[in-house]
Amino acid sequence: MSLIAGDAAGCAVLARALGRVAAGVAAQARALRSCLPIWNGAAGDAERSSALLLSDLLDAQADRLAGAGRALAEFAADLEGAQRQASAADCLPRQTPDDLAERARILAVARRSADLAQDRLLTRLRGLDTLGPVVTGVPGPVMGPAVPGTTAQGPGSPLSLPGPVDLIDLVNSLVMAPSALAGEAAKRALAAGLAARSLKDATRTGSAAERALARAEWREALRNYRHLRGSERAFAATAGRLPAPSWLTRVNSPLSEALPVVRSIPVASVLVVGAGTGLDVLAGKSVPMALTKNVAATAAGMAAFSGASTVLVGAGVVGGPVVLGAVAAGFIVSYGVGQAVEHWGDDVADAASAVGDAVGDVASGAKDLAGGAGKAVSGAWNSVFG
Amino acid sequence: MRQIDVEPSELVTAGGCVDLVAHALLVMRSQLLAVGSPDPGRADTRSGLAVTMERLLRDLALSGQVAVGHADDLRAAASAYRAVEARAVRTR
Repeated sequence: MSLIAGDAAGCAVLARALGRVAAGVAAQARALRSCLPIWNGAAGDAERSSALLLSDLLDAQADRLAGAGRALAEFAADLEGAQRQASAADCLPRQTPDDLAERARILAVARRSADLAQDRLLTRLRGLDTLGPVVTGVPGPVMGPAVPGTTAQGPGSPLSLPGPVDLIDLVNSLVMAPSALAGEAAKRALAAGLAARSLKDATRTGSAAERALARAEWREALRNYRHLRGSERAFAATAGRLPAPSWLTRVNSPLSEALPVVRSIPVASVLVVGAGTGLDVLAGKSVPMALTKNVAATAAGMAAFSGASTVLVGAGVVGGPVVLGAVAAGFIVSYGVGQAVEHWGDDVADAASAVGDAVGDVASGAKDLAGGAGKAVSGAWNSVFG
Repeated sequence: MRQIDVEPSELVTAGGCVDLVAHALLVMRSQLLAVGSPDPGRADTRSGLAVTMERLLRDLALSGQVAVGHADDLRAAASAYRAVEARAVRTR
């Protein structure tokens, strides 16, 4: 076994495969250009422009594949050289202190050159742009139905369709939303009741004018309290009408009532994170990336749902649209953050703010929510990876 | 009457060509997947290589999907033109 870790032969094999695929993609682009149908008129122009966009896309992709192949081939050669140098140093005599010093020096040089080669590889790989922005420029189908299996917003979108875990999370959120909103209304009603009681005491003291002012404020506080109690009853009634099994209620209970940190995290969210991470790992993602994506997405979704429900209950609106609005805010943020982490996982903070902006555009008045999502993602990231 | 300046069979042929492109892209993607990502040695490089490979594979799949969509467009256009032609014949 070499003193310097790394599979130089495997890297060389992949480099050659990337080169072959790059050549194949370039050949496909040429073939596509050569078989462009020759006809006149609007239909011909539309076909040509669409096919040329595709061939440009293929050319760009061939360049990226070839670039990755070249970087990897160079790295494989450098790594092999460093490993050979380290092996040669390992065979040197070790009888005198000078021998040992010489051996250590050669080993350090070999390790240093392997490190430099790895840095160069990493820099070059990170420098390879992906096709996201280019693909986005390709117009969607002009005629006919959407192609099965294509992305959510047509062939040009980098977004993938929500998976089974996203949908389970959505259904679960819909089931637990009315209870959560009723809880939020109850909390606010309690605070409003305490405020009304202290104002009532004020109606019995002071001058006549002060008592009159206190009475007006007390009536307003009382109205607010009754409205919040009404909201609580309405949401509780909605929760009671939902055909949810009793075990789901237990799944949605907090991880631990005793610990303030986990009091607001339902068991269901942990299960969703676990299932989502497992499925992503099975689909070939690394464990840290899958965990980051699912923790960040779920945390951001919870923050968005909580923010939306606070705002909506505070605004005094009640009914099905409120439930759907809060759940939709949570789902959009959760799904968007998951997608962003998946595609731009190298820079989660930027990804979160990008999703925050997108959500801000979609849901009017949800700017605070988006900021909350960004903070939640950073928090989730730090809590998992320090 | 509006002049139809394309042969539906031409569209179908073009659709077939683009379909071949899509098929070739997806075959190349599966070839790359079969090679897999070797271990370059250090955790950050491993991660960098895995992310790059994932993106390259995704790009191949995306352009394959774009090609499939384009081929479907061409076939749909061929059907539409055939329908227009048939209606024109009936009108005459």
